[in-house]
Amino acid sequence: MTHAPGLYISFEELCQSALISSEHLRELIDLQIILPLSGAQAHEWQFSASSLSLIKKALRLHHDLELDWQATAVVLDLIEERDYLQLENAALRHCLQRHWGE
Amino acid sequence: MEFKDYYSILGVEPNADDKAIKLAYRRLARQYHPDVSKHKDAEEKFKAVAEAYEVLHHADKRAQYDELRLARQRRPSGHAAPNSADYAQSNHDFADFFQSIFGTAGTRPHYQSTQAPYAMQKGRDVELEWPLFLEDTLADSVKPIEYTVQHHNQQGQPQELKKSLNVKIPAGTREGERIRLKGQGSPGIGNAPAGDLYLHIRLIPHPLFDIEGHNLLITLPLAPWEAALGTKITLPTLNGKIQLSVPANSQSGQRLRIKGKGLNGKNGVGDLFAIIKVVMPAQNNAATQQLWTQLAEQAAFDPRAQWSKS
Repeated sequence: MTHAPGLYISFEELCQSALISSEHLRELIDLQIILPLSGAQAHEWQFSASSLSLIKKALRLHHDLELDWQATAVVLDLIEERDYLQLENAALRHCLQRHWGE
Repeated sequence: MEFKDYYSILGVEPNADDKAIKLAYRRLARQYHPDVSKHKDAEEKFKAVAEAYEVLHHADKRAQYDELRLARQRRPSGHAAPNSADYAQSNHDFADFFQSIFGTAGTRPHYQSTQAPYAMQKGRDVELEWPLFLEDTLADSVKPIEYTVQHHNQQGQPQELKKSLNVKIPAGTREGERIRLKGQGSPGIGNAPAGDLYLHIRLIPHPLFDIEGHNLLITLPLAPWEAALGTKITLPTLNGKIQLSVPANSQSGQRLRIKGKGLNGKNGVGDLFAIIKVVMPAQNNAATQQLWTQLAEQAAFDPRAQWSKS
């Protein structure tokens, strides 16, 4: 049997999987820590499948580093940017190696 | 079981006040938190630090721990536990040590690797890195995956369960994306639903092509005379070989665009860029040496003309 992957997760499923209340999840959405990809109302909201890992990361940072939510959102943005730049840097290095390497 | 010195883990004296303990924790947490640290043992170190802090910043837990610590110091051999036979019998990690004292898992809430078995509880979500070849992502394709999940049997004991699935890979799947397989994580407890499986996509570097957005890059090595005179070459693409004309007077680093031979993206199909790399033959015989010398004499070319301008 072939399993078709889901690229989305609903508001309710996110609350259940991240073990947080719907009010708390709304706060994270207000802070733009995650944003729905589609849907006008909460019960229609669809989030990317990466949202759960992002919420878990936010919860860890908030709790472990004793950050407030605003600071957590800033740290998440910076981590995302760092990860992107590292990926881009690795890709560029790889290209350079192909082009200038032996 | 090895006794954990929470004070030395946090790098504080046993008489440190709450403020010093908090400061030490914050400093170490910032250094080793696995979400921000690139230290190779970050997760391990952070777990130890978090556990030490969990005990030392709660007055009652700290008092209980201090009591054990002092009792242990009074024992001549110094390695067995003070007042419980359980202490000396196993040799596990921090969480076990913590659990043996305080009765709950030693990690802080979001690091719990296992959840307490309740009567009805959704199974744990499982996340795995899934390495894919670039070719796997060109069209919808199916690939098998095998993995292990943990679950609790009816007696509440943890068990490992091997699972294997055939997973559909949607065309255009990219590095870093996650795909979700609902209900394919750890089984739920009681009649609760199973957790989900998340596959974190990692693209294995391709031997020929690099990815830039939805474009592909390939390095095209040319002999100096091919770059000078132009040539026709056979170029590999992700879906077969094509003929490519290289114009005369091509430069190293110049990109030749092959339209529509990139990846499928949200905004249509990307392009393939062949990046020219002029390469010299490893050895010259006397005849070619002679030809290069002639060329050097006749081609009035200063490749460093820019330098003399400054």
